[in-house]
Amino acid sequence: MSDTAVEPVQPAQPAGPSKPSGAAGLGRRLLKVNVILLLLMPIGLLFFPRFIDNTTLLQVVATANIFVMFAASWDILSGYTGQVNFGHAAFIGFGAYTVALLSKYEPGVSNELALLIGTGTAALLGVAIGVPCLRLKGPYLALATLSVAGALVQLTFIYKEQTGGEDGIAGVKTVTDGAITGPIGEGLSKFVLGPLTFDGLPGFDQYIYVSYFVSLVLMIVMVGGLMALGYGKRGLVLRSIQQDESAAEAAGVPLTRYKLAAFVLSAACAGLAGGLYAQIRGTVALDLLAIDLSLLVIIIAAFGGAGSIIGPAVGAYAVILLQGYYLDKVELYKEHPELKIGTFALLLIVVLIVQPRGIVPPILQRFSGRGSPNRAAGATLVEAGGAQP
Amino acid sequence: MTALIEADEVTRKFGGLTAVNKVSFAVEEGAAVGLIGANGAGKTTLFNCLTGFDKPTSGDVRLRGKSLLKLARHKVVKSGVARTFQIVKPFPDLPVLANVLVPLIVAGTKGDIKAQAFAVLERVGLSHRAASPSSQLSEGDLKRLEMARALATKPALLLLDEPFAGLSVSEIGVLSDTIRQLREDGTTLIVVEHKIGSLLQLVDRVVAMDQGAVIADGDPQEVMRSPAVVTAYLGGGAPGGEH
Repeated sequence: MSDTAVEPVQPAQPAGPSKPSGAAGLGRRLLKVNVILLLLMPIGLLFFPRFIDNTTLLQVVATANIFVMFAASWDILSGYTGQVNFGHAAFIGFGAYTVALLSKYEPGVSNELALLIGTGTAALLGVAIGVPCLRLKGPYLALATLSVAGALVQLTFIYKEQTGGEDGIAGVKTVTDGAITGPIGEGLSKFVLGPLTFDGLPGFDQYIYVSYFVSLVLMIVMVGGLMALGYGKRGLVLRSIQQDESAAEAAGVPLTRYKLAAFVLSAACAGLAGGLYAQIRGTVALDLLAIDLSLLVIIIAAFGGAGSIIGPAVGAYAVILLQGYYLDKVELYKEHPELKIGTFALLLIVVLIVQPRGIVPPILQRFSGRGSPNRAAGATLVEAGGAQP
Repeated sequence: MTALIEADEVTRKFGGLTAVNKVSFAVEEGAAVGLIGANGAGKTTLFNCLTGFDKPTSGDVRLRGKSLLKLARHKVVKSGVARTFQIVKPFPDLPVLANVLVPLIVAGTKGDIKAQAFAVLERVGLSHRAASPSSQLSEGDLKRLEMARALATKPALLLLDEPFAGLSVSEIGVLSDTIRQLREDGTTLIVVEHKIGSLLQLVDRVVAMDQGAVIADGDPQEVMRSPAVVTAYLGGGAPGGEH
């Protein structure tokens, strides 16, 4: 599903004055501020390693890049169409285990092809789950998706010999082994750090830099693509489904096609991100299929602001940095890391009480007068005609 | 004139209850037909069967001679049948214009779709609210928004389910003008409505239902005078008032 972002419109017969009103003009200027912010973020992330001499932090941000993809891929299905998936880890884990199994049993398969196959198998799982789940809503859909992830965990025990059961699979070929990912990661590392600096690093640090840049590139491509979709025409249709399914049908929306497409796209993106995660960690284990991961993805998305792609992306950096870096400095969490997810749940409750739409949409709205992408799309569409916002 | 839409012995049963019983009628292109009946007469069930939102237990619904029964809902819309809802169903978080963009997008409309959506809003007199979130509209404006969304599917036939329900007298007046304009533009209309007085000013034919069956069909005044309608509707009193 490809799409273009919705451009400002010049209605043929504008209701108001033909030139944008002061407020509308301001709106457009602020929209540009948003666009600039969205461009600055990836540039900032690109040069971030140059100014941070802390590979532990860098490793956490690389993980956050991956979680951005987990959350954004969840959002295009659940945030946009309202089909809340409680088992996103099923897709993530499926992609990751596919890549790990290929690495273990077919080491001749290139890293990139393995990623593509992981994406494909996750997409197929998306079809397999999406089709029977099309008629399910709310808690029933949540239970169904939750149980698929649970079933996959059991499957790893049944095929323990292949999957390693509780131990998982170690020795997965890493990003540095990739014919494309390796040079991309190395090239960007040298571009940002300087060739001499990069070559002078110990091997493990080099590996962290490569992981960071590969995850960043894939994240920017995926989030950019999903935002183009979400903020474009097709995103508007997905959003209409979330608003009211029968009204969408009355408007001529082929519900099954759109819902299934969202399911498969979400699954494929999650599988791709999961596969890359496996190549960055070099291992896969049950945590990639666990309910904790599914819940964390939902917490991230809701925290950042579901249904906006950029919200869950920002949420992922906030939550993963807290979880993987800052909370580790606190004694309590050092001793009891299992308390982290509970802390996030509490934090989420507080955020949702104060700001039910998550943290990012209200900030964007403050900047530009629009909160959700479709509100943004619709408002942008008309403001050029001078209609009242 | 050829029939645009035909209901052929349409029957819809829910368990032991026959909500619509062998209803047959045809509506010609360009006509405006009122569908009336007391609560429980089967109007909404028939309405749902005509629009693909429900499947008849037996019988057939044909648009220009082609059966609609095997079509998915969006295909029914694509073939030219659009509807509104008795209880309005806007896309509340989307701006007014975006509500109308959705049908244009899924129909694969070429050209400047925003301008086209804007033009549709103009037809129902809502273009000045194009950028408002639809959740901020009054009930009357929401009814017009639903009409605009239905019109954006470029329907041959537009079915309005109780367009006047919940509206004030002045809102009914404004909406009536909009509906009259649609008629003049050549849209074929079927209107389910309880507010008979307002309905009669809009339609040139009335189909009356009672207990799932058609009990009168024809000129509005004659239908309203028919003893079967008088009995069914008001238990003997003369129908025609606003209630």
